[in-house]
Amino acid sequence: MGIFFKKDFLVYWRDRKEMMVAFLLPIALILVLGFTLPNWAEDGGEPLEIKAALVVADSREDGIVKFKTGLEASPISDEEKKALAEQAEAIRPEERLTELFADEKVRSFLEVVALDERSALRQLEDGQVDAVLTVPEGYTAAALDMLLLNKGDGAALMLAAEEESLKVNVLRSVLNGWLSDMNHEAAIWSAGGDDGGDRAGSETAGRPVGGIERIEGVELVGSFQYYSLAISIFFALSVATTTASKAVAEKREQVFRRLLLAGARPYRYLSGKAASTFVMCMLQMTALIAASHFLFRLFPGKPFAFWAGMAAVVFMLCLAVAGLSAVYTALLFRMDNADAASGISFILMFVFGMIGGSLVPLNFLPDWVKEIGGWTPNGLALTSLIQWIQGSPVSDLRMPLVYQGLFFAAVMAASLLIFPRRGRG
Amino acid sequence: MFPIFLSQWMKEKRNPVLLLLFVGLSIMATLLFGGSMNGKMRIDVFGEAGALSKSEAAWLGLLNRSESFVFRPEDEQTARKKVREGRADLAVKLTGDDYRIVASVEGPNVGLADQYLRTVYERELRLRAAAETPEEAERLRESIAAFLERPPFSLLTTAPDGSELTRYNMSLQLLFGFALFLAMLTMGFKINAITKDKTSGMWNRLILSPVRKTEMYAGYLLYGTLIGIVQIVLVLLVFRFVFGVDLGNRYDLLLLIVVLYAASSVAMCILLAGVLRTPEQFMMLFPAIVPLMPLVSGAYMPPGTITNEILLGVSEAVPLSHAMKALTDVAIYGAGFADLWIPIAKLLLIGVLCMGIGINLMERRTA
Repeated sequence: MGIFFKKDFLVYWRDRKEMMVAFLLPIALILVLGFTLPNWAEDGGEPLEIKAALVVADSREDGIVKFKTGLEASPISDEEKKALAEQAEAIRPEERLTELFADEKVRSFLEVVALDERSALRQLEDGQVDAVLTVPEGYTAAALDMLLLNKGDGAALMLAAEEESLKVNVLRSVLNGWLSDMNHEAAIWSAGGDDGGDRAGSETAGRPVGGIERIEGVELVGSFQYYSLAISIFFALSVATTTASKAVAEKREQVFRRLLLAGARPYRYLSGKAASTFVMCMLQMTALIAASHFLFRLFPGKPFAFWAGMAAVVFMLCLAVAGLSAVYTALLFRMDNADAASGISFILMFVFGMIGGSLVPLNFLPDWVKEIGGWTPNGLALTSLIQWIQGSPVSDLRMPLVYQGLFFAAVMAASLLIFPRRGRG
Repeated sequence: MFPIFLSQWMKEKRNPVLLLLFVGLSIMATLLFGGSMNGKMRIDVFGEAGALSKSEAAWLGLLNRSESFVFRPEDEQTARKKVREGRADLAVKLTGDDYRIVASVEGPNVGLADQYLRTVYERELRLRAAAETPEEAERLRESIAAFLERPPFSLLTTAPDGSELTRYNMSLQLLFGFALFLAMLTMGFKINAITKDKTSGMWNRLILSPVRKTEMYAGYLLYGTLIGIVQIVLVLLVFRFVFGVDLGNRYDLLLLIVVLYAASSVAMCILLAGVLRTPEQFMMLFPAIVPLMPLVSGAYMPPGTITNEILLGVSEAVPLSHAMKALTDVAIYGAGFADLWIPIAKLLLIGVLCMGIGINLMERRTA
């Protein structure tokens, strides 16, 4: 096997440009994904900057006057009228809106400018503002009518936008959340009467603590760590495809037949392929993880045991990849059509990458696909490494490692079965 | 040109398995990825003592009145395992009248879920504080629900002229994104035939034949483009007529964009094939480069999510971003030809540039 290993390794080594690409491309990828996406995924990072115009077409005084006029006409006692009028003075829906926009958290991503209707619409058209929020005429009156007299359809704010963009959606959900809080308050107030309302509004109401559960010794996995691992693992998978495509050239140039004529045993050719793939894969993974560790400070201050566990996972993954390369090679020599064989390796790599979560965000996948994807060599390596980073015990690593070993054994056995025997190659 | 085209077709006809596999898998993948996104986000829930207690089950009922989340009870071990393995973004632990989120990877979904959970909890706790007895709480809840049937405050979202604002359809974007992305894979595989024919000596024999060089390239490229078009159209037809997805009513424009996309993608494949000399190198790097395209062009996220200048710049060079934008514009906003000329022009530009440089590189290599 030694001599075959040397041959295959030299074939790899000869094409150093390709090796550089296989090393630099993933680094570039990690860089791009790590620098651009986490800003969005981690704690909001780069905040959205939404600019909205506020058009107030309503006058509070007019609204109260109108409400009182309406009140006069209604058939209730004077005392009640007086109480209602007082309440009306106390309710200031538009002030709450100002409060919302002045809120520290809201202000960090939303800028509101007060404009008149015409210039607001013009700025919206020019794209200077993302949306126009209008407090329509009669807003106060409608709100008071509904709140105090249960009359009319309530008050509606108008939000105008050119198209439904992310910014408009965020603005809308902020407004909707705020409105639904107000509605809820009003609901409790009206249902519980003054008494219940007071208590509900008071501080005696319990508040949930909520938040993310922090467990001692468990760490969150950062986007950079995630992308580095996912991409390195996917490129490890591609080593098997590379081996197979090199075998295509050897088939084309009759290397294999010449070897047979020279008296070599077929399976030694195959094991040379697997061994060289394994070594290449290990080299590539080590280089990638080491480079991204030093470039991006992935795992600072981790103990030796951590690296040992990681090495074990990588080692078993590379074994599985080596097994895959043996299957690809065997298929190549069994099938007449080399294109079909390399097409199959291409497809397999792609399917593994997809369902193992290396190519597409996992949350797009239905549950059952995720389940299957967890059993692909790359998917399994990724999940076990994610667990390992979070500080799960060694016993959690045992099963995945054994499984990768079984996978290797199974595909090696399959490739030996598929591989043509002497005299039939 | 025609003979080249025919020879490609004959090869395919004699050995159709591979192409069928490519197209079939692509369609399946689009169905799988594009189709599963219409739903709500599923979150596993477990109680303090493992199984849900009665009061925790009541909370679960309250939580499930959401439009964007589905909470379902799950065994604690399983739920935690899913989160640890990164197969679920988060799980929720209900602890009496409080909750904790279990998450291992930081992400936007965690924040969204936390916000929702907090609102539900705060409201319910407030309501319980207002009521003295459970019966009263129940009565309160009912009257509040009745009150909220006609809320005093509301928000109306419209277009500037007061007409209804068209809702953006994210699952449609995903559908287009996957259909285009996977078609590029098939096309690349077909374009690789040129480099293969070069290494096998077929190309030299063709050069000696009366077929002109332009015709040779045209034959290969046209074939690749056509396969891509057929694949995308097939996917769209399946979605339109089997799953009843609304694609708007400008099928002519959709087809035009698909054709342009296929052509510019084939051009891009030629460029790649020109840079990567051998079919082997192409096969190795192509499947690593293509999956980046939807990621970079933001196909997986709502438009406007990516704000990074570099990433936006890179995505300008990717045919997928322009084609996807044009397709969604047509299908969702009913854009006409006049609205589409920018993405169309960009697609053409990418196509011409890539084709020019790519063929030049290929010719240089053979010389």
